[in-house]
Amino acid sequence: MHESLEDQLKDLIVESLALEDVDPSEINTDDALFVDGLGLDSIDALELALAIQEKFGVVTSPDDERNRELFYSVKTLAEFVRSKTDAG
Amino acid sequence: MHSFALDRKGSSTRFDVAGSVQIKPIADREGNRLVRAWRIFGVTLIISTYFITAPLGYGFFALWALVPTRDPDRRARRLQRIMMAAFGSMHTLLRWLQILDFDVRRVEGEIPVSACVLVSNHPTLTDISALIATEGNLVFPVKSALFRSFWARPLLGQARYFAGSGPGALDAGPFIDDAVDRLERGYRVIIFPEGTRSPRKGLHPFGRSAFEIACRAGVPIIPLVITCTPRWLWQERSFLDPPRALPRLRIRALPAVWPKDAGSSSRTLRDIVFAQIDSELDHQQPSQPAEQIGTATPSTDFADP
Repeated sequence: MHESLEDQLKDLIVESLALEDVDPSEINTDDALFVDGLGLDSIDALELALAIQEKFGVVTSPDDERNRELFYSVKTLAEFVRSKTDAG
Repeated sequence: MHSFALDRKGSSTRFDVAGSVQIKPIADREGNRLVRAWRIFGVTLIISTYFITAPLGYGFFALWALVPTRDPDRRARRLQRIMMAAFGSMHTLLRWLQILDFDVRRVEGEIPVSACVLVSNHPTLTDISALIATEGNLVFPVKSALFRSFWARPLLGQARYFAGSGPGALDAGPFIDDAVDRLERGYRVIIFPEGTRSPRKGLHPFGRSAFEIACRAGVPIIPLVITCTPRWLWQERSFLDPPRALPRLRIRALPAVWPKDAGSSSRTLRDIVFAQIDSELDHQQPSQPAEQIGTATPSTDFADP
């Protein structure tokens, strides 16, 4: 059985950011990833963008004004990746 | 040692140019008002001088920017030396006017002359100008809007300063790239990792950018501990509300921390440096009067007895 995109993103977040004390299953799909949520920071965002590019081939532009919304949660990231891969 | 005294109706305020100001407990209302008026006059004089001369200075730098150069880094270092001299003069004047006691020739501890990231707490607006006045070959991130402004860009850009990180989720990328580029060119980079001025006591949490930059460039972090006692020019104390005692600014460099000491992890490096600066600030606090650690009520220093 294939892992959902959301679950793949959770695994990617934990692996690429080396969050040793976080279990991917503990990350809620709708929760904020940054600051008050999972506590990620701006450096994590860069690393996560790179990891998404490597795994899914989806490029994120630093100049995109929607980045804050796209990186808000696993759900918003999954929607973004889906929109790009479906379009491709 | 140069000194003079103000004596009026039983109050006596003694100024010591080389050191501190001692105000006797019996200083009366008029004495306090005189000191306060003197300080406000001095501050106003400095700020007026800045606003009168700044347009000339920025105009000169804008014209200079039009002149082609084969070596932009040589020009950058010249500009940095000009700014060092300008801020040095300002701090010497502030000291002479008994407004802020900071000796531009004196930073305690050792700061390497080669590329490194200076990381500091940020107790007052005057600390950055004090650092520029003291240390050459120094660049730092400037707020994006200011960096891109018409009047400041010619100077800041040519001096190799760079834009700080914006509010976007991925805005840290260009900022980190610029900082690493400056380090590779041999400049020293100063970053205030709290992102704003330090709170009344202790430190705000540190961001990770400065430490990521050091890890990527493979240069050491030099933790700086800056104290301003009593606190002035911070979020709870404006320039028109100078403290009663002469604020004394002190900059102290702690031993270098290399990325390899933290396993090249910017998180670990951040935690190590935060603990060092926090511990140094903690050690200073118990021996000082309340006002000197920034716990006095800001508006009561010149209140009537």
